[in-house]
Amino acid sequence: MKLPDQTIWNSLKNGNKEAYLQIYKSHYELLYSYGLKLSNDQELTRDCIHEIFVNLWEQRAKLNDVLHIKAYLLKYLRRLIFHKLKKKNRQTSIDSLQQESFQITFSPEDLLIQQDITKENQQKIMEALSHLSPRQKEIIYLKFYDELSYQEIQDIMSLSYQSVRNTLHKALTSLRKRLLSLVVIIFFTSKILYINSL
Amino acid sequence: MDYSNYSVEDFLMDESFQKYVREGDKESQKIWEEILRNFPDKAPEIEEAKEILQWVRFQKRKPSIKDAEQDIKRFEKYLLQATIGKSGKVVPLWKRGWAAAVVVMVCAVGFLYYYPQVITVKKTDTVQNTKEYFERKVPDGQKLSLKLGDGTTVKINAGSSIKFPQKFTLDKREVYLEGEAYFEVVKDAGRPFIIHTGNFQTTVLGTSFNINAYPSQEVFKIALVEGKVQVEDIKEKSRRVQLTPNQMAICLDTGIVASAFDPEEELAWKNDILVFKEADIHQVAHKLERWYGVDITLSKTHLIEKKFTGRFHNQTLGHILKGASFALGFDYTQQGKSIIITGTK
Repeated sequence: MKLPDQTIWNSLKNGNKEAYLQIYKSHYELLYSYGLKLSNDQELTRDCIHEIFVNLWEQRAKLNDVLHIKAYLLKYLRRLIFHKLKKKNRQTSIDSLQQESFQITFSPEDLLIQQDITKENQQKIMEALSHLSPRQKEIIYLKFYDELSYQEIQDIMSLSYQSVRNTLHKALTSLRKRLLSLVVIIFFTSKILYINSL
Repeated sequence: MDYSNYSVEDFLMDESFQKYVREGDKESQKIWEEILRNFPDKAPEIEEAKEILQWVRFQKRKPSIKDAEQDIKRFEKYLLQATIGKSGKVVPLWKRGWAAAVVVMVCAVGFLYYYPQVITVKKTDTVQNTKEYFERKVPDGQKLSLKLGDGTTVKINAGSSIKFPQKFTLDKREVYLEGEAYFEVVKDAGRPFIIHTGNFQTTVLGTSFNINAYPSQEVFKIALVEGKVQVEDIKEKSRRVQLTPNQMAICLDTGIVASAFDPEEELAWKNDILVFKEADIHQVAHKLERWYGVDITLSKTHLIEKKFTGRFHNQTLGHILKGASFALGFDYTQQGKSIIITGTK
């Protein structure tokens, strides 16, 4: 059984250290994996997570009510990493980070290990993912890595519900097109197997 | 819901469909098999959407254990300093050390003061879980009343032991019991109270009841006085019963049954009343050993078939032995803590 977020959040606001530690422990890995995807920088991610929790404790009396701690923290981390990266890249290219977007890359290690995906097909999937826009990639990440709801993704990325859905829809159409050859092959094999087994 | 116009993308976007492919739980399976039956034309779209979802299944990158530990330590250190240096001023390092030492000392004194009978303190230290457990062992011949951190009171019978964390977590209150205890659990709907006894666990939401789970016994008994509890076999989760007041769960290796119980018999001990009800010589000896912390040896008692019934409040062992020897027909000799019972037939 889990306590509702609001209860834990209120305990934090009242200076309850136990609640605070619990929030840290139950969100650390989630924040880490998201931060790492956004920044591709372990040290930066870890420092940002630390900074967020220090800020939370120091500002605890002034915190607003939060309904979903997970979405709140992910959004906070996203913004912090964006600002850090912007600062870091100021000298080089200012434009590249203008729109709060991130250079997310996917690699075969990200795939859940499944027996029936060959190296070649893994490569095809990566290739298909690489053609997505940064925003599409991020929504794919939040939806299929972190398994967040549309509501949560909307909060984290400060987008409207409709634009989250439209972006994902476009991303999926693009993926589907590029993965069509895979679908057909697998389809045929399963059909043939089906006939054989009759 | 009408799925006849659904495209592959629409299925992919559907959160219920995502859950079905991801978790494949029975409930989702039922829903989607039903949908497939109602919209058989959609089979190719559903099949394709399934395939695509399988490919975009990712795993999260986790921090190394070393990094995670380092981070939590850094965080806990910050927390410690933040609570000591409340003024917000930067406290010089040597002063910080001193302040921390004072806090630790106060804790240690408080700890000794409140827990004079702590026998073992076991520490389990993992990244996720830092808990300290207290274990209290109550020897034969004694009883102990305890108040836990949440206000729950526990009366522990002789020859029993209880283990509980120094502080309950935010989401549940868990204790481990060997033997017999009477609980009066403080209501806290958000934090179930769970008692672990061997293979069985009892989950409570505000209630008073008795648990009899001596490991040497084959049968565990949980008697409910008021409130509601659930008893389940942790190895076979399907074996469980919910009790209503005045019911008792009897836990066996083969299952759990609920039945009525005699409060006189099951709960008298907590009021310091020793009760025998149709007890044979072995049961009498066993109960006396535990109650008075003595050692009883039976000799030539196999012919004693009579049963003993009696109710004793604050009586001496000698008084009870006298009564029982007359009713059951035996002689006894006592030397300090050891007693020998001999049949007279």
